[in-house]
Amino acid sequence: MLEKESEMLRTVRGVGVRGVIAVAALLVTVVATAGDELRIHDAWMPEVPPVARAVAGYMTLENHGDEPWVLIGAGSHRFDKVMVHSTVEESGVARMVHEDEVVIPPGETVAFDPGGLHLMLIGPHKPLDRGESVDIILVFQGGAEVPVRFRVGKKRVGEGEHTP
Amino acid sequence: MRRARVAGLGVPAALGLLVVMALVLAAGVWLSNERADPYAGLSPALQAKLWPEPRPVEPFHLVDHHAEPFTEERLHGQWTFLFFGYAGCPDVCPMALRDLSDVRKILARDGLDDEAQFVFVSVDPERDTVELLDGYVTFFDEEIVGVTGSQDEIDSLTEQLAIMSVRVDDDGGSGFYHFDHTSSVMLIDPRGRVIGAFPPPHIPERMAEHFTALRNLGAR
Repeated sequence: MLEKESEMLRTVRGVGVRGVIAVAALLVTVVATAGDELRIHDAWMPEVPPVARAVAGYMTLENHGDEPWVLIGAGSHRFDKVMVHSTVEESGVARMVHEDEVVIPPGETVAFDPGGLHLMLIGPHKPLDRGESVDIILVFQGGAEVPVRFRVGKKRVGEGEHTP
Repeated sequence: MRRARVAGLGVPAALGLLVVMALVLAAGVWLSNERADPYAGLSPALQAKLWPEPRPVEPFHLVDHHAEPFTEERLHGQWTFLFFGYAGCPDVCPMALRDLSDVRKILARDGLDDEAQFVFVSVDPERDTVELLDGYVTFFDEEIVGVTGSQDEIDSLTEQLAIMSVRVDDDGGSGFYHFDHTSSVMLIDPRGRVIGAFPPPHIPERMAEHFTALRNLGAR
């Protein structure tokens, strides 16, 4: 676990323009920078059947810095493809809209929640188990690549479910 | 003379006659209201979800996740919650299936689960085979029925129920595609008629309450 964390740190420092520090806190993954602090927490994926061709990734991003953070993409070794989408309800129809970028303005929080913004994780290479952690790399404008650990569970962390 | 005779009934009898006339009038008004709007007693929130007229579902031929025929006949004899989606849908469908499972558990608690079935119809039959749906829907709830079939038969059902579904291919030419689709849960009555649509968010407690109100209306 610790070894993996430091490996993640190196990965981030290697490519990160802003010098990202990753900290794994109890049940949540928090990612922050020294100057422009971005906290990503409550990162989770709902449990889906092994035959599901896609799963969603949800999280909350808080910008505690003075500059906007702009999410421009994501990737993972566990999936064929990762896209940033949002579900938009229009006259009873759920449309999935591809988001080229998601801006997290300074001092603001952007939540990826069911029925709204989500990472669309397409083609899992193997089934996701409940309680499992899956790393997704978030790519931000400027080149920062931030690994975030997502927990597979029934609900968002902190909504009353204990991850085994 | 006539006037005198009525007067001759005396004041109590005349009042009694008036009361009877008023009751007859009230009953008439009540009956005509009943005929005009069978849903008059339901909450405005529920009435807003109901179609102006129940519409019988015309014949269609699909297959369930046990490879058994699933036709309009399966919509008779019990209520049906019907949702349209696909197994490659990451956000809306798992959410709806979990919500439907929760509705079913609430009805089971109230002893009403025998009166309703929960059905997930694929809008992506090319990829959602019988075997795949078997592994998909039962993960969310063993009691949910997965339905697939030929594109033509699925289209015939979606058209009847005013369900929209559009395939959207990824711009990048990666071969990935998804569907924009109606996210309402359709409610079919035990006579096989569509009576309404529940748009999201699907709050299980609220849906169970609405179902129970409609079911009680039918049982009256």
